[in-house]
Amino acid sequence: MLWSPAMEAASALADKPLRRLLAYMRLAPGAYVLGGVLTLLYAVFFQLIPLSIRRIVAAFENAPDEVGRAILWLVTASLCLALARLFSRIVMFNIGRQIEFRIRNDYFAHLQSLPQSFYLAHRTGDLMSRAVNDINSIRMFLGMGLLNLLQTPVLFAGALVVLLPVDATLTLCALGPFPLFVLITRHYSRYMFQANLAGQEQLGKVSTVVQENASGALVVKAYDLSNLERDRFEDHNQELFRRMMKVGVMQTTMFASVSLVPALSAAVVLWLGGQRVQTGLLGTEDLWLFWGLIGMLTFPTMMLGFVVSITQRGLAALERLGAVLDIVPSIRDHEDVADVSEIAGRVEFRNLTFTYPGSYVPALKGVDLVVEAGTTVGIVGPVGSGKTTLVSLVPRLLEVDDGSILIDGVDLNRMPVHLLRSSIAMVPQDSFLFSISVSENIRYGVPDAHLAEVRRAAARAQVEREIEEFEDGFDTVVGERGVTLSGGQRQRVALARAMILRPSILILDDSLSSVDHGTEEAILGDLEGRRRGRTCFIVAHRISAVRHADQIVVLENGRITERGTHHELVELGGFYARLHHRQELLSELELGDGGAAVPEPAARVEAATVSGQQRLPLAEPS
Amino acid sequence: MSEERSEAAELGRERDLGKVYDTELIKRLWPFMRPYRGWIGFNFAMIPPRALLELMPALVVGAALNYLTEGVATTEVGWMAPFVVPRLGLGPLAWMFGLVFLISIVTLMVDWLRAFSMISLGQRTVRDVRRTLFDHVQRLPMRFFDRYPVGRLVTRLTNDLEHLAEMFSAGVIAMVADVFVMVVILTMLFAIDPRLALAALALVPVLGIAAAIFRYKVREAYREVRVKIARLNAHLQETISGMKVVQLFARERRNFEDFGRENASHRDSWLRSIRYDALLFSTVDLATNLTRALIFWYGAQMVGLGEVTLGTIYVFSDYMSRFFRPLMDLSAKYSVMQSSMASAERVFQLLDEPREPEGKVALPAGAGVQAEAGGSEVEFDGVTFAYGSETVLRDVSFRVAAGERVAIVGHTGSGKTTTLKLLARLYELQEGSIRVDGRDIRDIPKPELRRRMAFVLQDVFLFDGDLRYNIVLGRDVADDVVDEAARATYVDDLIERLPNGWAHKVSERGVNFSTGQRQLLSFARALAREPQLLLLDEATSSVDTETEALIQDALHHLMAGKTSIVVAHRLSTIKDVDRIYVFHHGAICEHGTHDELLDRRGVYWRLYQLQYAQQETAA
Repeated sequence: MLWSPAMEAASALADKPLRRLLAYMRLAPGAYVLGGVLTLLYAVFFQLIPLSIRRIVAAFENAPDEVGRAILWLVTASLCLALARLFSRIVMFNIGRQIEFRIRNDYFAHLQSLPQSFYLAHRTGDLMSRAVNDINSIRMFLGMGLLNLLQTPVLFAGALVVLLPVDATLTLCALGPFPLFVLITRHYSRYMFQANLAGQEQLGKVSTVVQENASGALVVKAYDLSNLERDRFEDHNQELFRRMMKVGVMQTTMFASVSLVPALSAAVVLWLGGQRVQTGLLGTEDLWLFWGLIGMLTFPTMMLGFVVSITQRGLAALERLGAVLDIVPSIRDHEDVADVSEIAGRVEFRNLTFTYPGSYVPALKGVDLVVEAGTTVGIVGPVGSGKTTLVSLVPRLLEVDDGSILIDGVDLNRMPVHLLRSSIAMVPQDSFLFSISVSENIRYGVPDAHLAEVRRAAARAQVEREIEEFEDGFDTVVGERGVTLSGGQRQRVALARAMILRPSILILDDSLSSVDHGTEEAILGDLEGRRRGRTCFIVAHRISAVRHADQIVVLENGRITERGTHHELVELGGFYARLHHRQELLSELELGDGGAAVPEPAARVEAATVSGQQRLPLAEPS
Repeated sequence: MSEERSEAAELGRERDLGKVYDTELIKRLWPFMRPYRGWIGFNFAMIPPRALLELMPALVVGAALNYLTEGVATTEVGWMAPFVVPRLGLGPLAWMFGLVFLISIVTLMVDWLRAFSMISLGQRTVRDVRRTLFDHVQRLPMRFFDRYPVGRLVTRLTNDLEHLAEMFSAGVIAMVADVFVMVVILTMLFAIDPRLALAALALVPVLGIAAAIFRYKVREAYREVRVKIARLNAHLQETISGMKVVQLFARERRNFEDFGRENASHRDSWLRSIRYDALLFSTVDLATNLTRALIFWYGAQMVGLGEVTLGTIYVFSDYMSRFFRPLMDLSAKYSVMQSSMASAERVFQLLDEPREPEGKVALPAGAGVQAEAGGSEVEFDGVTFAYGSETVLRDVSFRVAAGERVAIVGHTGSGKTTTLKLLARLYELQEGSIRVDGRDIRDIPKPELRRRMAFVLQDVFLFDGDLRYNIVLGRDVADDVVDEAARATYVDDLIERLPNGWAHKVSERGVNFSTGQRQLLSFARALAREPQLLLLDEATSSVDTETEALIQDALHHLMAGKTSIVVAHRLSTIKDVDRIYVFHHGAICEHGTHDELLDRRGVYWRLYQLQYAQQETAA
C-alpha cells in the first residue's frame, strides 16, 4: 500500500507520455544516476541520525565514557546527511530545470515549423498557457515529484530495516498509521484536483466577463449598463469566492488531518513502548530511536500525497504539450524535394482550390493564372474574396490542398522551403513589427545588413526621414516599451523590411493602404525602376497601385472574374470599371476641397475598426 | 499583439519590484481588510494558545521519560505539573498517551480554524477588491479603453488578484506566529535551565548570519528569475503573434538561437537559486542536528552531576528543532510575498486611473429634464474635439428640433461617429457645448442622459445570455413592450425559428447570428428602451437583399416619433429623414434635404455618386 503512489504513477506512465518523458530523461542519464545514488546515500544517513542518538542515550545510562564518541558519530552523520541533502536537492531540482529548458526550446522550435493553418486553429493564449502552465507542471513533476517518489519509499524501507529488529510489534503499531496517511492524502488530492479545476474554470468565466465588458465598453456606457454589469459580475465573483474557499478549506483540512497521524504514532510509541521499557523489553534509548525516525518520516510522507497530485498534473500537462509537439509540420522538405538552386520567378496557378481547415466554403475556387517571370500582376477584389489567401500560398504559408502551384515549372510542394522563402519577399497586410529597434526590424531578413543598407531600404519605403526624427533614430525601439508608430509608419517600416531583400518574387498584400497617394506613387515608382526581372504580386484596393501592372485580375468569391490590363478592364465595365469610377470621384472630392491630405485624424480611428473587421483569417488578432 | 508588449513594458518596472513588504501597499489594502478584522483579531488571539499547544507534547514526553528513568513523572515546567499527574484511574503512561492524543486533536482544530480564518480573510478581501476593481474599470473613460489592452485588464482582475490571495494563506500572520513561537521557546528554555539554553543557542548567531545573507541572495535570485521568465514569455508570445513574418523572412534559426540564449539564461538563474535554496535547507538541517549534539554533549556532563534529567534533554532537543524550522520555508514565503506585492502594486495602479466624470449628480426631485412626448431637442454649439493631438471635429454647430429626423453623411473619417459619441458623452469635448432640451449635457447626470437615448452602434455587441436579456439589457421592461419591439424589427420571425425562442442562448459574442440578424437585434434593443433620442450609426456591411429590405423597414419603425440622428450609409435612410448634414474633414460643409443638396451639386452630390448612386441602380 505504501507503494501505491509510485505504482499509480507508473501505471499512468505506461502509455504515450512515458515515451516522451523517457526521451527527455535519457538526455540526462548521468544526472539521474547521480541523483539516485545521492538519494540512497541520503536515505542511509537519514537512519544514522536516530541511530546515533540512541547510542548517545544508551551511553548516558550505561557508559558515560562512551558519550563523547557517540556524539562524534552524531556530528559525522549530521555532516554527511547535510551534504547528501544539499547535493541530492541540487541535482534533482537541476534535472527539472534542465528538462524544462529542453522542452521549452523544443516547443519554440516546433512552433516555428508549423503552418499558418495551425495558428488559425489555436489561440495565442492557449499556446502560451501550454508554455507557461504545462511546462511548469512537467518541471515540478520531474524535479520535486520524482525526488520524493524515489526517496520516500527508500526512507521507509530503511526505517523498517532499522526498527523491525528492535521491536517488530512496536514498529508495526508505530508505522501502522503511515499508510493511512498516504491514503488520506491520496483521497484528498483527488478531490483537491477537482476542486482546483472547478476554481480554474470559474476564473476562466470571470476572465470572459471582464473581457466582454471591456470589449463592449461603448455599449455598456451608452446603455448605462454599469450597475447591471456590476451585479452580473458579482454573481461570478461570488461563485469564484465560493469555489476558491472550497479549495482552501480542503487544503486546510488535509494538512490538519494529516498532521494528526505522526502525533498519534508518537503517542503510541509513548504508551506501548513505555510499557515495554517498564517490563525491560526495551531501553529508553529505543524510544528515542522510534521518535526520531517517526519525526523524520513525517515531512516526506506529507509530501507524498502532494506528489501524487503533482504527478497527475505533470502527466496531464505532458499530454497537452505532446498534442502540439506531435503535430508533424506539413510544410517541410519532403523526400522528393526538387534539386533547384535558384528561382527565376515564373508562377503558375493550376486549377487551384483552397479551403481553410474547419471551413466549408472554399476561399479559392479553380484559380488558373500564369505570372511570367519578371512581370507584375495586380490583384483586386472585394473584401474576403481570397486575395490574401492566393498570395499566401506562394511562400507556402498555407499548404496547397487541391490543384497546384508551379514555380519555374516545379511543383511548389517539391521546392526546398528555405530556397523558396529566401527568394520571396512578402509584405503582409497587418504590418506586424517586433518590439525591437527599427533598424533590427528592417534587417529582420538579413541580420547582417549594414546600417547603410537599412537606411537605403527605409528611404525607398519613404520612411527614413520620419525615423530620423525619433529621438533614437534607427535605434528607436518599436512598441510600448518605445515609440508607438502610426499605422502608416508601421506599414512603411514593414515595406522597408521587404525592400532590403533582393527577392525573385515580391508580394505586396495591400501594403500601401495607409500611405497617402503621393508616397504610394514614389514607392511604386521606385519598385518599377528596380524591377529588373523581378516578379511582383500587388494586392490593392486602390486602382492607382495596380494600373501599371502587366496584368490585373479581379477576384470575387474566390474566383477570377476579370483579367486583363487596366485599359481592357475599364472597357469591360465590370467590377474593376466600377471601382475605377468610384475612385475617380473620390479623388475629385479630395481635390475639390483643395487637395487635403488623405491620412486624416479620425480616418485612422475608423480605419482601424474597419480593417479589424476586414482582416482575413490569416491575420487573426491575438 | 499588444499584451506581450505591455508585459515587456512592465519588465522595466519589475526591476524595482523586489520588495517583500511595502507598508504603503498594505495601507491601501487595509480598507478592504477592515470589514474582516475580526478574522485577523481571531488569528492574533490564537497565536499564544497555539504556541502552547505546539510546545506541550514535548513536555509530556519529557515527563514520561522522567517517569521511566527515575520512576517519577516530573516535569521541567511548573505549570505543566498538574497536567502530568495521572487521573481517571489510568496508569501514568496511558494517561500521558491520552494527553498527547488530546493535545493533538485540539491542535488540529485550532490549526484548522486558523487556516480557515486566514483563507476566509484572504478570499473575502480579494473578492471585495475584485468587485471594486471591476466597477472601477467600468467607470473609466472611453479614452482609457482606447489605449489599455483588454488582455491586460483581464490579467489584473484574475491572475494578479490570485497572487494577492496567496499572500494571506502563506503570509504575514504566519510569520508573526513563527516569531512568537521562537520567543516562547527561548523563554522556556532559559526558565528550565539557563546554562543548557546557552549551549543550545550556540549556533544561532551563525545561522542568523547565514539566514541574513541568504535573505539578500534569494531576493536577488528570485527577482532575476521573474524578470527573465517574463522576458522569455514575452519573446515567445511575440513570436507566436508574428509567426507569419518569422517564417516569411526565414528567421527561424536565428530566432531559435536568440530564444535559446534567453532560455538558458533563465535556467541558469534558476540553478543559482536552487543552490541557495538547497544550501539553506541543508544548513538548517545541519544546525538542528549539531545543536542536538551540543545539547547531548553539555547535557551528558550535567546528567552525570544529576543536575538535568533525560526528559529535559528531550525537551531541549525537540524545541530547538522547532526553533529552526521556520527558517526552512523562508524562501518559499519570500517568493510568495514578492509576487503578491508586485501584483498589489499593479492592481492599485489600475485603481488610480481617474474615472470618467459623472456629471452633476442627484438633482432635486422633479428638476430633471422633462421628457417631451415627441423626443428631445439637441443642439451642438461650436463643438471642437480631438483624440489626442488629432482634431476630429472643428467648430461644429447644428440644431435638431424635437421629433426631427436628421442624417449625417460624409466620407470616412469626417467625424460622423464622433458626433454621436460626444452627444452620448462617451468622450469629453474640448470646446463648445452640447445641449439637450436646452441643458448642457455636462449638467445632466450621465445615467439620466443615457437613459433617454438609444445608441445603435455599427458593430453590434451581444452579451453572454439569452435573447431576451440581450434586448432588455437588464432593465425591467414590460413583456408587451418587448414583444412590440421584436415585432417592429422582425426579430419575432427570427425568434420563432429558434428552438428555444426567447430563451435562446447567445454564445461567444453572438457569432451564431448573421450580420443582418445582429443588426435587427440591436434595433429591437433600441426600441425596447423607448428612447426620446435615437443615435444610430448605420452598419456599412452589406447583407442579402431580403434582410436588407427587413432592415430598411425596421429602421423606419425605429425612427418614428423620436428625435433621430443617424450616421447614414443607406440611400433609403437619407431619403427618409427631414434634413441632412454633410461632414467634411471634421466640419459641416452643407446641409438641407436630399433634393436641395443634389441640386447644389457640391460635396453631397459627389458623395452621393460615390456612396449611394449604385444602391439606386441596385434597388
